[in-house]
Amino acid sequence: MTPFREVFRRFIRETAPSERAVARVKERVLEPSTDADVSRAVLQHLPGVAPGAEGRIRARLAGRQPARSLRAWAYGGVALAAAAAGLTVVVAMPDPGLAPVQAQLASGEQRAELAPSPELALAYQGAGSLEGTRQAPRIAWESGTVHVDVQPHQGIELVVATAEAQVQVVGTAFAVTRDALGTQVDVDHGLVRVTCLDGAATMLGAEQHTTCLPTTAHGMLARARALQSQGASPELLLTTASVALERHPDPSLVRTELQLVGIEALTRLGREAEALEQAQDYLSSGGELRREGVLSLAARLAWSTGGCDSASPWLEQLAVVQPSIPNLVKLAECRATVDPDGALQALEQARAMGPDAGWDAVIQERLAQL
Amino acid sequence: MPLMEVFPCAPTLVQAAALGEPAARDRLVDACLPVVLGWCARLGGPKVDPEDAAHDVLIVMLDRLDSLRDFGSFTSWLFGITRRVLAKHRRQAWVKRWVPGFMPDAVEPGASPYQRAHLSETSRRVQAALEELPPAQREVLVLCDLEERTDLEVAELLEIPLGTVKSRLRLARQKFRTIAEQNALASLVSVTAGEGGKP
Repeated sequence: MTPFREVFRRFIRETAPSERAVARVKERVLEPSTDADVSRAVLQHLPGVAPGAEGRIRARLAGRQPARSLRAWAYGGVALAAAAAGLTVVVAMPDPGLAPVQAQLASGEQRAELAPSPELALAYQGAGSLEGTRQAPRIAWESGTVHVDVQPHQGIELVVATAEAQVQVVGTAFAVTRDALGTQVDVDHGLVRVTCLDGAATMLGAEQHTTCLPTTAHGMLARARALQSQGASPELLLTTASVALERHPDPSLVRTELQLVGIEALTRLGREAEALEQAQDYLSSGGELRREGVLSLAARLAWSTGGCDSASPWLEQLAVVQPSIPNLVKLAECRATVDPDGALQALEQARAMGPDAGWDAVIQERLAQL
Repeated sequence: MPLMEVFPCAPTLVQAAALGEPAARDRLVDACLPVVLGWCARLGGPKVDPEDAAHDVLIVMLDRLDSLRDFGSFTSWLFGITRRVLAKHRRQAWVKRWVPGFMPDAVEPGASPYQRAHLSETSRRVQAALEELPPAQREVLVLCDLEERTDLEVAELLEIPLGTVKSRLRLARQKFRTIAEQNALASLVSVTAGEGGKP
């Protein structure tokens, strides 16, 4: 027997597994599979999904029905709070999603279900409608003011749309007011993107505001009328009229009215030559509704800028379309040097329109001079 | 098997849904609903209505989708939501016991009409036995032994190391077997084996 063989035998003898060791390994190998068999077999008896459960959940998602939970109590409290807060509607239901939302917003109503999510608070005075989804509500605002407060980073993609503007927001508070002036957006805090439907887009930060002008000619005229009633500056009126005339070049009655707004603004600004030019455009464009008024205004403007030489054409037209005593007297003054007979004829016509205590003496004096 | 094949929500679909595409959101809900409902039914326990829980999970999912950065990890993200929602429902179930008259429509607190009508005594006992496991072991046991996911998939789903899954699974099986034997549920083993496995 070689020494090597003896060494191997000794090695085999010393490394042979004991019965206890074999049993331990066997236990470790077999035990997990046994446990697994038990758990797999027993777990088969766990209750599964109820028939129709998926359909019911889909219906609840579509119908915005809340889960049966403590929230039901929260709804009642929030609804009472909303009622107590007047027109402010805040809902504590954290359930934005795919479910469609639709409601009419009108002053004097409080409807807790209007606010699509807890991250959105609405307060409004006016009229509009709410549609879209709880995740992406869309407010079509017709008139008045809607104040919106959206908590940031909640995934609410709110759009407030008016006839003039589309306001998109992710996390801010702002107010949208629509009236005759257009659509005004006032940002309390946060950041909003305002896209006016005339193409202008701007980002508004805290305490900034912008106004989207009406997109139609009659809307711009309504804005001009509203500005006039508010005593707006002639500069603003002129800007409104100029923008409207540029955007709506097609001849129309509304356009001629806008021209008149511009003429009046230029007159108030002392820009008489430009006003006279605009008046000429008005009359040449066929504006008939206020022809007499524009002729009278043009005559005064012409008189102040160029005296009789400028005013005579306008006074001659006025004598035909609006033969009043002051116009005829002024016409006689202008005719006196170049056409005395014509001046006499104008004064006679003016006297025939009397008697007028205020003008009779003036007419008599002019006749005496002739 | 890759996790996304087990739960086929392609990252592109998740991304489209996160960007707010209504059709994508609908498809995502369709894909997630059966899986989430299964998780809620198996992990919710006897006090939780799986339909309520699944509904809330999907609502949270849609609400938070835009905060998801890695669309490829959507499934584990969704499981995390499910886990949190179930925990909330469990807490609420506990609170409900102390709110007088809160559940006038429930004969047995936490049990849905279906559960009340259709759960067999055996099912109730199995559910109760599972409830005795720690939540972490319960999750691994259900995912591996009931949903037949590999330990690798479960590690990915739970975002824990593979070794942790294996150790939790081993402990869970041991403990569940003990509980089953104590509750005379071990006899189900031979019956089920004779029926040839899972339904």
